[in-house]
Amino acid sequence: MSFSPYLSTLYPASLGACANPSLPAGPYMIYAQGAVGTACPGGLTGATAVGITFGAPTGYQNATGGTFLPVQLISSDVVNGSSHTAGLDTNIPYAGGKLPSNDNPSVPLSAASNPLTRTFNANMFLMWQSNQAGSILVPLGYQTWGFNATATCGSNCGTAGSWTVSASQAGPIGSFTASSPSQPSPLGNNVLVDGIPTWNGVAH
Amino acid sequence: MRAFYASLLISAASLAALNQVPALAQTEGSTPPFTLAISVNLHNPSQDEPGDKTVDVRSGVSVRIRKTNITDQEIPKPGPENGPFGCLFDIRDGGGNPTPPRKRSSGSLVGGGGPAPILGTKDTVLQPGESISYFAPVSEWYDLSKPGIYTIQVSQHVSSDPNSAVVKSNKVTVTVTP
Repeated sequence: MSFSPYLSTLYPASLGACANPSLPAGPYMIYAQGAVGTACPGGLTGATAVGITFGAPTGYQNATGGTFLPVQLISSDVVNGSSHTAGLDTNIPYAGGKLPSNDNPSVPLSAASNPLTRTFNANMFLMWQSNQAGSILVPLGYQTWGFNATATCGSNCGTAGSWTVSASQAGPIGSFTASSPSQPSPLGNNVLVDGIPTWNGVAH
Repeated sequence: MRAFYASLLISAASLAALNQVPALAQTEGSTPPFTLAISVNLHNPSQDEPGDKTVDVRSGVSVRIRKTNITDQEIPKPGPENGPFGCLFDIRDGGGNPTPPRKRSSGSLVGGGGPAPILGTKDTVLQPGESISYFAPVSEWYDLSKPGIYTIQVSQHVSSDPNSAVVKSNKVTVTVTP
């Protein structure tokens, strides 16, 4: 499974408001270039370059016709020292199960949070589900990825163009790790049971 | 074109009567370019699961949304609404009252992120007959913590013009148990 292309930094962008979950319109720091749309989950209507790409699975046999599915866990997410709850990213499977896919996390920017530093880590699991009734999702492997970036604003912080962003790290961390029952746990802040990812709820 | 839509409507209505697929979207205004079908997903995340469902309050409620282009030309993939996945969510309790947003602690303000189509490519459009599915963890956004019956429906305007026609999904009923 490929995780490229990916961006080596984050960018400021002006996004529309989200009614629920309630998110403001205005400047955001986002792991995408040229992003447009709203700040809602799944609210981006486009980007000139996406943050990280999740490629279609390769190198696996699937003679029985099962389904490959992406499942992503947010391992840690710290914004200006405030930790957010780890867990499942949105739902199972990620992005409706479509591969290739991508991810472009964003956070609102304001004068009150200037400068803003976000350290984000996720684990994207490639899962497989047999066509047999009652079968469970089986992990094939995972890729850790994330970023550490800071946005700063001198003045007029209500517009995206007033912000500059620098990243000390962005993209895959290490290489794709094949799943195994003896895998060490926890993985970040998420627990693996016999190599199978578990979570207590949706990350937020 | 109208004959094409009519045949689609008849086919979908026939299938819906057999309870094989969710009912075709209802549209206020002109003939719809797409349909929205929703189901509460409990078992297989890669398949539609039509019909009403009973969900334990601790499990949470997730809805699979499927948007299908029923025209003979490309249409924009993203919806224009300021809700998750470009949709508006109408969630009501057994008394018909709108379900309030879930309360969040202050400081939990992060954006949505998720996938984005790449501008200037075919990634931004749905081809004729093509579908895209989204999974919405609605109990993360709406307060479904009180056991009872809830109805869920999603909608989208057909364009960013607020006066344009609205496509509505079928309604699903969820019984949330203690």
